[in-house]
Amino acid sequence: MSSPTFDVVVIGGGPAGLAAATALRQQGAGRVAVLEREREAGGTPRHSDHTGFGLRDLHRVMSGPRYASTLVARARQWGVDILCATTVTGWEPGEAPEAGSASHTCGAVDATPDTATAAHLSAASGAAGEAAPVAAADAGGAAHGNHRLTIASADGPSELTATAVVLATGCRERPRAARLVAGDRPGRGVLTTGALQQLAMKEMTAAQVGRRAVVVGAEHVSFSAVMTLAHAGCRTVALVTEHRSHQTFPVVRAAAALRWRVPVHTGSRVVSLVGGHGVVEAVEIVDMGTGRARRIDCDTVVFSGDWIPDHELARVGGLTIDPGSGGPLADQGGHTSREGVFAVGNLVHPAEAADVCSLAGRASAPAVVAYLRGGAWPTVTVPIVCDSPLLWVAPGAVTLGLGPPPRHRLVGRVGHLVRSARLVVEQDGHPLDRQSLGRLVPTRPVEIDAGWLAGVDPTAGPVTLRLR
Amino acid sequence: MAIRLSHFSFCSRPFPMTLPSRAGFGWVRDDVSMGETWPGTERFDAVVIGGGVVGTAVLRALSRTTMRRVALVEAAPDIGSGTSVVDTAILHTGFDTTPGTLEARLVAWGYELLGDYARATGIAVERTGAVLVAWDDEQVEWLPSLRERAEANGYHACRALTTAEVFEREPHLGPGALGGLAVPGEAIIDPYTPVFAFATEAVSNGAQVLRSTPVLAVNTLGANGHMGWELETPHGVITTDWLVNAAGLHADEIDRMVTPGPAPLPVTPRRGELVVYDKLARPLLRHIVLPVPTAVTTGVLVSPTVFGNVMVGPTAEDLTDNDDRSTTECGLAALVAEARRILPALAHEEITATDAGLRAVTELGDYQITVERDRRYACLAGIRSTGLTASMAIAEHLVAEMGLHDAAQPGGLGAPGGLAAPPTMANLGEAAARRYQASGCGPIMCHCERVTRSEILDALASDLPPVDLDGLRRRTRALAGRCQGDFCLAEVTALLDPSLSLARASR
Repeated sequence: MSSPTFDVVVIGGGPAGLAAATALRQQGAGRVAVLEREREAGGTPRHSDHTGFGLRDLHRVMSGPRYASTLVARARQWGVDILCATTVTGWEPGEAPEAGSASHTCGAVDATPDTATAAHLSAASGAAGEAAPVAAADAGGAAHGNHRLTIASADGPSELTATAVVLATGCRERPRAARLVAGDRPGRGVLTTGALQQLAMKEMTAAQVGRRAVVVGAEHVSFSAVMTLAHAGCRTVALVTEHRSHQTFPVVRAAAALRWRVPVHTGSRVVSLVGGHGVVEAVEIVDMGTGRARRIDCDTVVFSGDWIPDHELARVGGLTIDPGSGGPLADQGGHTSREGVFAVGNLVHPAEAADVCSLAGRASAPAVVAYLRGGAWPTVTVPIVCDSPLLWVAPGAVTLGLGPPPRHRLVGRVGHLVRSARLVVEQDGHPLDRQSLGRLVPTRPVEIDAGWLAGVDPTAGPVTLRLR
Repeated sequence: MAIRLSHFSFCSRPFPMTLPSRAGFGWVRDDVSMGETWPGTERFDAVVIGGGVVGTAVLRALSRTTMRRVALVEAAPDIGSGTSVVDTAILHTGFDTTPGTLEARLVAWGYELLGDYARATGIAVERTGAVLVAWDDEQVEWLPSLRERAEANGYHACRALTTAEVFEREPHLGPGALGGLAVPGEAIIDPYTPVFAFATEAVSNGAQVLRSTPVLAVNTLGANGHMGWELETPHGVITTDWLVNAAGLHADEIDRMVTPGPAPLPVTPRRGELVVYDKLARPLLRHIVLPVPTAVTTGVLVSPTVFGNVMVGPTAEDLTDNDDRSTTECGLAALVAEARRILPALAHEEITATDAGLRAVTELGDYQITVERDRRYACLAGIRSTGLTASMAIAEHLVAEMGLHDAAQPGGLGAPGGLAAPPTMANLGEAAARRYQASGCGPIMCHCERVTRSEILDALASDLPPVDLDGLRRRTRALAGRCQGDFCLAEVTALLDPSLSLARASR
């Protein structure tokens, strides 16, 4: 095969992907490439021009762009090939790992012995030591089969092969159409926070931003949008959220109220945009309790938050998807339902802070290295199912013997405010754990201590998480 | 784009592109002449009013006749931005048109003409075929009459389907389908590119396209005996021998300017809303799934698009406002509900876009094409949703009615330098190779739709470049994808107008 071959190809050069690649090299993986479709790696922090990045992974605080360039520099330093302006347009997994995917799909335990597993195990026994570089070929990785990726870069289409693929494609904000907001479709002045921040970085907000904005959403990122708009000379006249209160920290809300006098319309939905001559004139919001409609005059509408994973490759690759998060189902090592394919970062948990993604990427490295060394793909994986108001948790499955998830925590989201939450973890009716989670705010991380993971019975049914 | 014109441009003075309403922000090009030079005192052989798919098809046809000077005036800043914007994007066989009508004849003819033209120019067409699905007994009873109608229209390929055959063709259909009718000839087409292909070819033949040129008044020249027409526009007066009214929803207004008095042709805008699902839904569908029209309802169709999405629509609602292209909360909700009924797996898919378009409907229910040779006035009205398919046939029909000769035919005078070959258009469809799949294509800029930087630059350098982001979207698909600009809006905007990024220097 003449196409370039890597031991690991990481798809997505944001914090999760860069951290995963760096950790892989640090732990002895051979050729590691990061494929980034933008012209520069670094992901969303590249255009989040405010401080607060890097606390939990790098133990210092810096701005988004600075954080992005630090992660890129570290990856390069550790010998990661970062290929920018490179899009993966298709992929063919080398083997169809029926046993693995079946256990994920059905949620049942499948301990069917298969020959591939036996081959992995025998290869593992002859694997090299910790310090030696792990190249799949050296470690008998040929038994794993290669993933063939079709890529498009500035030079045109080509192919890459990799023993392991780490998906770190991140997430995006749902735009206006996906939220079914009706009305006129003005040519400008309707955007997402992501687009707004990128325009701001280029000092090009004049192209889309006017003088009076309505921000849809009232979570952290919504207030970030208020700040960016203010810098662009645009006053935010309202935040609109369907939830019963805003979801940011009280201090942020208070600051926004004091500094910009921004009202938050809670329990309300933007139903329609009014525009004329290609420009926004107003939004119509409806109070979901009373049904009362009102019009807010504005010339700019920013749709913020409401994250959805960028899961196109995961879907096309046939990975089992967690219906709650929309991301691929993965265990605490990042193993997905397809052999040799790992998933990390905001693709799996949309959307956590950049440093949490970076830690998640880093935490997946041991599992990837074990696989490169010939380790078997987990076939005994127990799904974690959550009940309303929990929407999803990540990891969404647990494999025994893998060690804890990053930060020894599961993360998740709730659909509505829970004032004093008590979590019950059960498997087949047997209690595994009880935790007091305190006040849970929708759109904000629900963090669950993962101490009980070790007690999961691999031969029993799914683990259920319920809130009391 | 292969063709650059040599014999084009009258070059009197730069054509001022001023938009009727400019907001204080936003990217709208108004600084360039774009090869559109104001004709000055030039007298045209024919002027077409309206730059939709019908108007541009007529312009193309006229540019291929013995006429030497033809032009098109479009009120909006761009062509293809009115009724032609939103379309169910189906290349109709015409099997269900009313037999014997002009529409029936022109749709069937246009199906062939546009199909051939698409092949020649590279406009994306996928010959998926259609399945009409009956969901209740009443609809089942209508199926034979539809087949008879198809036969009466000269379309003989329809075949009745049993319930099992329907599900065999469309395994993801929801429960309750009772039977159906296969219409193998129905196809899906890129609805945007034909307008630009027609206009590009016309311009190559020496025609002029004048955008942002609303017609304010129409005067006749010569007191006794017709001497031509004078069109008043904000930029000046245009004189012409023939006048072709292809103004779509505004055809009745133009008609009133031409023939003062009560409106002879009330045009009703009929709103049709569409919901476009994510490309990940495309494997759920193989054919166009058409509703069975009954005496009571028309129903909505679920169709793949050549861009690789799944589209549901349209609703039908008669309006009074010619410019109201807004979507409605209940319209969208109804479409989503229908989508989930017909194809339940759509419930798990994201919505990429919603849209609403207006179809120009007259009370007469057929195309209203009148040609007055004495006054040299032609009017095209009531060209409904079948207008895209019929466009080229409408143009051929019109040119014949006007008594014009094809320049390439014996008896024609021949165009200077010969007629231009059909232009090669950028393929926007997923069934054929896209630009990003070619070597040396440059990086992808719009990731969702995989539009390369070079495609955007080509569109900007074309004979009829876009004037705003919507125009760019129609020409290249940039920003049309699932993120709706979350990732690439800033990059694309910077490419369109580098001066915007310089704005900070002066701030």
